[in-house]
Amino acid sequence: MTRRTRRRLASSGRYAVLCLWLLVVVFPLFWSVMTSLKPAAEWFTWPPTWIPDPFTLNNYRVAWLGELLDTQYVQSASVQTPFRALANSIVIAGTSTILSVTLGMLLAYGASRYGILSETALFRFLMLRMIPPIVVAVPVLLYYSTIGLLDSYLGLITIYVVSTLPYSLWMTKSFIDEVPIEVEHAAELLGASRARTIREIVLPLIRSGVVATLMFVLILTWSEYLMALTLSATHISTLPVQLSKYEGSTEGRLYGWQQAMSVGVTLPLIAVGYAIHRHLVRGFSFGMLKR
Amino acid sequence: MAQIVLSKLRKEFKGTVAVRETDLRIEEGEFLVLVGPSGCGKTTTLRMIAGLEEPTSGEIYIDGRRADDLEPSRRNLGMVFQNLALFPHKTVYENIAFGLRVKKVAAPDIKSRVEQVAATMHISHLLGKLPAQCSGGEAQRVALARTLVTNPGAFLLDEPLSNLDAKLRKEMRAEVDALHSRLAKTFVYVTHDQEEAMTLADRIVVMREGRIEQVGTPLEIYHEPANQFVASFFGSPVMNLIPGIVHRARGEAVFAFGAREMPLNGLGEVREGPATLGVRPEAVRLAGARGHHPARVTLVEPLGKETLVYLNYGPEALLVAVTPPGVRVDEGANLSFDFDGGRLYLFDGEGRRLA
Repeated sequence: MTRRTRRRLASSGRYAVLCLWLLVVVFPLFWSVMTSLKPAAEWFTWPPTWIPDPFTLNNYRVAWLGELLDTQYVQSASVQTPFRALANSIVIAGTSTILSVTLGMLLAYGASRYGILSETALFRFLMLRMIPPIVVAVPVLLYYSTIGLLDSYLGLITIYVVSTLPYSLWMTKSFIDEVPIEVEHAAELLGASRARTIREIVLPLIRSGVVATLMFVLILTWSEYLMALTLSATHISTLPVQLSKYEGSTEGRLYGWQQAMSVGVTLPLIAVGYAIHRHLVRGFSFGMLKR
Repeated sequence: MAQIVLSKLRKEFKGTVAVRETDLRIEEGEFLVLVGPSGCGKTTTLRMIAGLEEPTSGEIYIDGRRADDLEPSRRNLGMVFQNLALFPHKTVYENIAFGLRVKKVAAPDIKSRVEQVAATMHISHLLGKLPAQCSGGEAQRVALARTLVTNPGAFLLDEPLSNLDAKLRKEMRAEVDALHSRLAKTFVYVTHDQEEAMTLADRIVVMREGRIEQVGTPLEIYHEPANQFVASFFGSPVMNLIPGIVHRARGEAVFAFGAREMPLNGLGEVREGPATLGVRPEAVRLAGARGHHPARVTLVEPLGKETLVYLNYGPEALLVAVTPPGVRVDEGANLSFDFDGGRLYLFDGEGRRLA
């Protein structure tokens, strides 16, 4: 076997593995979309219908517009307020993501340039993430009910900012660390103020990293379920909580409706991810400043 | 133009002393080179002048004004960094214009000044490019231009040429020199390269372990080194250092090394005791069979304009001689050598200059 054939074989092997992996990743999405297009009778059939024919949009009308197409499910459908949940999700995930990354970035800059956090303190921050959320959920529920933060935007946003801050801090710090300090010194010696140096030199250089961090934290907060379930009631329930309501002991498993909502929950993330994919590639490769 | 005075300047980092009480007066328009091995405190000294490092104690005066508590941006100094520190996301034009925009220079002035400085640095064709698209030498010019355009009172350069290859380094060295002559401004230049120091400096400051060992013109430093460290730091090939003992025989000072002796009559009064004789390679003269010190040739390195001859004059005792290229010597040959009496240095056990 020549070296060339060996190289070709190796590369075909790599692609075969990647194709297999792609299948594993994409199949649930495919199944979700297909199920969302099936009439109720096909949700449970065996062998399964792979591609519904004819497909129906009724599931979307139920899940997103709250139209009751089938009186059998009146009971469960009555609790759905899909657009309200969507709005809640956007407000809560969006606000907490921006707050978390902004705060993380400020801390990271201080840690990277001024050593305001010791190595130990930095690791303690990371350990925040190692606490099982369920351990925190109930105590926080008690506190929140006392101080009136239960079922409020402020309550969920606070817990999201705190729980994602370690990621924001660590990720943005790794990007700031990559900006050579001399670049900042050069700007300073040319007469630029600290604020101007950060705005004109540091921020543009870590932009991709910040965008990647924003995306990462957004995924976490957008899909968070446990805290949202525990700390919210009807007022601010988010999309993941809504999603769970299609599976219950009394209503049965409303797969079509659930998937119709699920597709709506996933699509915004995919859209955002696609819109910024250039930044993601650069941000996650952590090498954008190498010359 | 700026005169910079350091007074009892000291810097400690977490208990270790980087720069000991340093007094130095840098004259207006002078090209001063701080030189020494890594860790000698030369860069720390430069960074204290720039304001990037806060002195532990001592004072800095720029043009007679106390400057050590001024922000770096208020000292009217320009600095070129070892890694250049160009702004990677800005074009060459924007890099150069940055300092002017910060100082709120009017837009048309910015354009003309950037273009003018780009022309003098021969980088007009690069203005639209990003730093990453420039070669090493081009990036070097951009870094100089960026500092130049703001018209600072003094230039601080921290090993600016160390990332270039040998040929380019020599070219840029000549350009830095020409730049200094044209601007007639104060240059403070840090390097670990003795050749760079010799060729560029009006005055050289030799540092070691946070202390100034000697200040002087290049020729003073070369011909009248204050101690063994300075003597062996300058010159290529390095000075031969021959360990031995000074004692008196028949009323005269004699330097004994190995099984040999040589009179020290050319060197004046010297104390007895262990000492080191310093001989520059060009002060070792090959003398065929007529010299005082027999030796064996171990290696001959013809360099074209001169030839280096390595001589073994005793067990483990080696020295280098520089000879004109025409001199024919064979490896393994036995011959003898003499020292050029007028150019010998004698250091005591601590490396202090005796004579």
